[in-house]
Amino acid sequence: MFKIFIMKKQILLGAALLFAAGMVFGQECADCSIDQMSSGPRGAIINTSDVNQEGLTNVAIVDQAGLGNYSTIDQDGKMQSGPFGATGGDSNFAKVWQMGKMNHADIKQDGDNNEGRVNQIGKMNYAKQDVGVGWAENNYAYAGQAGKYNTSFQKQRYDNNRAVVGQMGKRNYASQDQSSGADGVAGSEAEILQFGRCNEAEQIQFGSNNSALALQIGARNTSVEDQTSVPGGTATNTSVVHQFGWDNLSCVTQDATIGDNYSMVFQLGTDNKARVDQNAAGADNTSFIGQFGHGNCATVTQSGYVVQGF
Amino acid sequence: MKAKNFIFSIIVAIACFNLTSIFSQEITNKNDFIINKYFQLNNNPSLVLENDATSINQSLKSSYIILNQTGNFNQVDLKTNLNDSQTVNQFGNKNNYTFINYYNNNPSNFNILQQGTSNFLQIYGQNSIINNISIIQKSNFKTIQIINY
Repeated sequence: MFKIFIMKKQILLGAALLFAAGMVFGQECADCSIDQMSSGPRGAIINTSDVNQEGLTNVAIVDQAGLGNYSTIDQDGKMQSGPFGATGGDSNFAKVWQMGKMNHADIKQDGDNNEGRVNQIGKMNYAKQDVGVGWAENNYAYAGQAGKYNTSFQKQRYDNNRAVVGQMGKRNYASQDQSSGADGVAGSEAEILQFGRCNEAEQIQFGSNNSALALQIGARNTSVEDQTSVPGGTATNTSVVHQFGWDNLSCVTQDATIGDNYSMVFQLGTDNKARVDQNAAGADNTSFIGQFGHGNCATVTQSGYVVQGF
Repeated sequence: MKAKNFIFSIIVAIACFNLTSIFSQEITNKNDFIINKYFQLNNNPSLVLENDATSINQSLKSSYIILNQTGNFNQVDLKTNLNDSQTVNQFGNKNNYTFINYYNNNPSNFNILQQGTSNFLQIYGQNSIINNISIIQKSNFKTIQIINY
């Protein structure tokens, strides 16, 4: 009887070990490759510009050189009929400067002190900014692209958002989506800087006190930062990504309700992958990942939940 | 004659018992040494790791992870709860470290160093016994597995 018990125990232990080993070998690394949105038409043969402004002190400056550049600026003063006697679209400012071939810029700003700037040099660059609706307030968006086939999207909703993109090289892709989620709350902040070829970066921010920076130097690096917090709350998300080399991948997801998330990923080399999932719901999460070499993989999941009874 | 044989066999039995106990002692000592070396309970300064996470006030309810991988095809997979702090260093190739904390809220502070090739370290669950643990594995093709229930 005792012998049988020991055998059963050994079998169970063996099964547990096999299961654990299976988990280790079957472990998958980060994957957050970006489904790129198709950029707008860049087939204009002659330089065209269409500016449409309403409300107070809007300013739009368009300067185009080369072949087939295209620019549209629409600054609409949604606040003209505001319930609190607000006046006009307030002091929007937009500037487009394009040089090269078939660059395309599209800026649309609604309400308050928005500012948008696009500089494009090279071939077929594309930049689009679509800033807040209603009481959008102090938004700021900038895109500067040099090289060929670069694309940039920027979308900002509500309040003190700030977004910056700078791309150099060929076929880089950047997308930013920011929303503070409520009127009169502190805003998001995001920056993407890419030098090299075929780098792609995406930044999605919702709520207050978000901040993200991605810097990619090299080629074919991918960075995705997704940050969520409570609009008007005190919880903060911060993420910094640096990538030098080729084919590195960084995926950062942060969710903060009570507490602060902080993540930094630094990857130098080729084919390194990092994934960070942080959930601050009662505690602060901090993660530093440094990977140097080839084919390294790091997965960090930090849960800030207080588990009852343990 | 029979009495002599009986006495002789008793003497042999006593001698064997003594020898066994001596050898057992040695084996135990070796185990202790290995375990101490792994878990850094000895005071050898060459094995002491710098732990940035120790300075963190655990009452803040924060999770703090510092992770450094240098080499090729190293892997780390960490699933932590609040109050879990870890410093992980992997140098070499194909090293693997996995930590999963399921439900425990107790503060933990790990220091992990793996250096070499194809080393495996797996820690499942967490309890007070392995709190403030330091594990150094400088070797090749070695595996450590800690399962806490």
